[in-house]
Amino acid sequence: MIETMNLTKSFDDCMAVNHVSITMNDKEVFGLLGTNGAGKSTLLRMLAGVMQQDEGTICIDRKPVYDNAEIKRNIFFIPNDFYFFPNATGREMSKYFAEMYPDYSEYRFGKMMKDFGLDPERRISAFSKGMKKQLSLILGLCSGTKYMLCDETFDGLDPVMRQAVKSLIAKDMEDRGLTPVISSHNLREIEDICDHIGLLHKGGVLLSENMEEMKTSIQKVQCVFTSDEDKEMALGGLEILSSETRGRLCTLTIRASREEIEQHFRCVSTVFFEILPLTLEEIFISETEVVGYDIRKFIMD
Amino acid sequence: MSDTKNKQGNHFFILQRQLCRRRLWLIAAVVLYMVMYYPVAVVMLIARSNEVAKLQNMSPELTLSQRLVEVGTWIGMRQGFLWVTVLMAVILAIHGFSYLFSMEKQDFYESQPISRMERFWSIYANGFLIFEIPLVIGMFLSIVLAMVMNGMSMVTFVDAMLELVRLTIIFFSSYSLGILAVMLTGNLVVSGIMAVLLMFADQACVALVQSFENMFYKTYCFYGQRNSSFLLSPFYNAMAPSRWINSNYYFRYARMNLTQLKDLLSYCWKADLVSILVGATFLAISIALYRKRKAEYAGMTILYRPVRTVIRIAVSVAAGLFAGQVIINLFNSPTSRTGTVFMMVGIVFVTVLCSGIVEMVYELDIWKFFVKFWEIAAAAILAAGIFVMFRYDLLGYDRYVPKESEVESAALYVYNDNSFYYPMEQNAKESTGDETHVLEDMKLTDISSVLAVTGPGMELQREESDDSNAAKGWGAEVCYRMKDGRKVYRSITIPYSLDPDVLDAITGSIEYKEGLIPVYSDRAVSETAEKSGTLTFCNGFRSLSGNGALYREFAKAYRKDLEHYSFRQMNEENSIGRVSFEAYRPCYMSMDFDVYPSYENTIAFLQSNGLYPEETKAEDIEGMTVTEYTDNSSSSAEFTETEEIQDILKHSMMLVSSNWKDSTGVDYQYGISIALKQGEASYFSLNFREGEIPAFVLKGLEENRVQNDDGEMDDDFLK
Repeated sequence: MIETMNLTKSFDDCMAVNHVSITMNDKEVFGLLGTNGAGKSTLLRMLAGVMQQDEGTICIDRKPVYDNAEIKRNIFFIPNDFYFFPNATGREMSKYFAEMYPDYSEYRFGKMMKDFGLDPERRISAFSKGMKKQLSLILGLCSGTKYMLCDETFDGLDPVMRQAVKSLIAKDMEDRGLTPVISSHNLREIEDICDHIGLLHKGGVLLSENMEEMKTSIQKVQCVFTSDEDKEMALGGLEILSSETRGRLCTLTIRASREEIEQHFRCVSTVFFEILPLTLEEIFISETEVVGYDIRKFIMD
Repeated sequence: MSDTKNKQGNHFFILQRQLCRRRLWLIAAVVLYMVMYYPVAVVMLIARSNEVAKLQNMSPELTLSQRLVEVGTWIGMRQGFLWVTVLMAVILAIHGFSYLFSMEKQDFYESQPISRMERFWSIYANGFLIFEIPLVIGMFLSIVLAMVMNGMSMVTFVDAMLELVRLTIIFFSSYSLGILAVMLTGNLVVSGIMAVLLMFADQACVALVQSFENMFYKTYCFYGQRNSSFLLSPFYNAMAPSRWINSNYYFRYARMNLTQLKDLLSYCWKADLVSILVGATFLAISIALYRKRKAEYAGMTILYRPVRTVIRIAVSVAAGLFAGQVIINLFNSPTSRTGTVFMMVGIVFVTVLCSGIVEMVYELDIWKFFVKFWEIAAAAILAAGIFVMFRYDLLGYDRYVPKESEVESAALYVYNDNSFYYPMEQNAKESTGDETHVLEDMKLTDISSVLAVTGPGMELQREESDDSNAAKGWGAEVCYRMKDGRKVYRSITIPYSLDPDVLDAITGSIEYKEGLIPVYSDRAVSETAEKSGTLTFCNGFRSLSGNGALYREFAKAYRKDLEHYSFRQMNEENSIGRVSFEAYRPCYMSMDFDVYPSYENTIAFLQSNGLYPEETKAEDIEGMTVTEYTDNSSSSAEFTETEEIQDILKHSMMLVSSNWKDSTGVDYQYGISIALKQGEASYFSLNFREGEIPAFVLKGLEENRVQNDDGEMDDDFLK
């Protein structure tokens, strides 16, 4: 489990990570969302032990990560620009990591390279950007580490490759309990794989929620009340996140379970009543609007 | 998940293997150099020696000696390629730790399961091994090959082994310096500049201080400027053998024996010890900085503000002072009012300019010129302050006369018109000049007499520097050997008017004579040189030579006469001639000994050995040419009549030696050269006594001057 407590990091006058407290559970995909400059890369670098925090603590499996070789054996960090040795081939990089990580599988590397259609003997400098991303993911998956920290790794992949990688990650999670932390500036890229989402903005955490809980705890309701008294009675005691009325049709976003809402509406008379499925985007918009942010412009582009 | 667990071997070897794979170009370069420099070059040198020996029909002993010289000067402590070791060390250091300059590389390396210190020591050891393994192998191969080719002796072997240790020390200190340069900076170019700064800063500082001392201190003594055996810079310390060779030039191409090797080592060991200490200190600082270093420093210029401030101020002050020197070259006198004003303005301007530029480079932003204005102001004030300190001698350099109780012994070297160049007592194969001999070996213990001379001497030196046309004393250098181990040197001018008793007390002492005149320290000359030397006596008109074997007898007679040697004796008597001894083996030597009328033993020796020429009379002279020297021109007149020659001889004198003579009583405006009847010219010229120039001489000169003027007019007209 990765736990950060009041994590702070600043560069000169700029606060890159501002008192971030997040918990990332084992065997869950943690999605780290945020715009450019939100602090995602800095947070991942601190989680990988590359950077040292100014304040706060980072514990991975209850141990500090910075300059801790023992903990780092369980972490593979795939930064946005993965470094490959000059003139190296995929095979050479694989051999290097085989000496670094005790559970690295060179057999799996060969197999995955073949599956992805990459030549392990070809110089990496001749690879395209997407191919390099694939190679870095393959190396990460072959390292056999418990944690894999991916900084915008999916952004350069085409949809087919993205799906392939996602399924590989899912398989590793199932087989060996991999815990991936994936950062992105685009929610749509990772929404289908993440179990937990952390939203960073200007160094701080806007929210950190479990996807499943988020989906079940917020509902979108469309209804037409027969009278204002009925409306008051139905919505009394419910947390209304947003409300929109067109004529007599009310569209409401309510933080409550489906059963809870149905129970409230059962007692009143309505002309029309329907609970609609909420997209992840809508959930995010609702959640962040509550705290005064309009995230549409920075993660839904 | 993994099919097989990777067998993790010894981490150190794994990391070394990985590092070597990524540094193949560097390894190849180092190996190539070591192979070419050691085995290949040694074989070529020995082969060349054999070839030369064959062509010149050298004896087997000489051929062996030649081979040993070639091998010894190439792989021993006298080798001249130490700078390559320094360069390799800095390159390996910067290359090894250059990953710290890139965020991308730090993401890669720092996220891997290796502790920071483990990575540090792996890289550190890797650089060391890349240099050391090829060096050791190359050195041993060259020794073996030299042995096989009969070009190795025990001394050469010890020399090579010592050099191996020295090269390791030099590499260690330079490597640590290179690492420190990386730890202080955030990108490759700036780290290179930082390494150069750290490597040469102390030398630049010493050079600047010495040039300012020379420029503004009137009592500054060049002899005291001699290079110290060590500074802090590994490069400077690496070059210690070169400095030793410069002052003992014979050893550059000599076959060394163990004693000489010990001498060389006794000069170098301090430099090497300092190198070890400097290397260890730099390494300790580097480790501390590495532990503190943050990943986000990648790409920055200089990481720590205090270091930035120090470098900004130091570089701009040095640039300002250097500019001041360039400016002052435009003026005749650096102490003139205009020169001072221009220099001050120039120093301040260049310091401010340089300070701004340094900050611009730090920030890579042209608009940062005036950032941290206090640093610019501090640099300008410091540069101006240093200039003022030297210009107006605020430290009292020109007034410094030590307390008697502080001085252990002293040496006084007076500029004489005769010189000595003769073998050192401890090493007959090496010559030394009289200045070195006196300042190193003369040990005057009558400090009160020395101070009685040097006090007024300093005062007059200050005055004379302002008005150098009027000579009022004898130029000299003094060395105070202080009880705390320091040596203080000053140039002085001993006033003509100084109490003769004081000068007699110094010059009459045995310490002075032993420190100055080589007949007191001529063991090496007596033992070896006299077999190949020539002893000559010249009375100014004629000279007679004898075999060098006469030297020992001469020295005995001369030493006896020197019992009465004193300032007064030399000042009051006129030298009647000079004995010169010259020899070429085992090294070049040349010594002049003035002979005065009171030197009865010497004169008797010269007479009894047929070295004393008869007195030259007017009848022996074919003609005399009197030349008058004026500011811009000279005119001459020739006199051949015996009466005229007699008259000129009557009113003139020959100064074979002007030691301890003042300029009074002699008219230096006129010079008289003599042609003897045997077709020879005299060795010395004559000078008229002051106010005793015969009228016919003046008339002759006047006539010739008119004729010359006419001739010049004709020439001008024809043109």
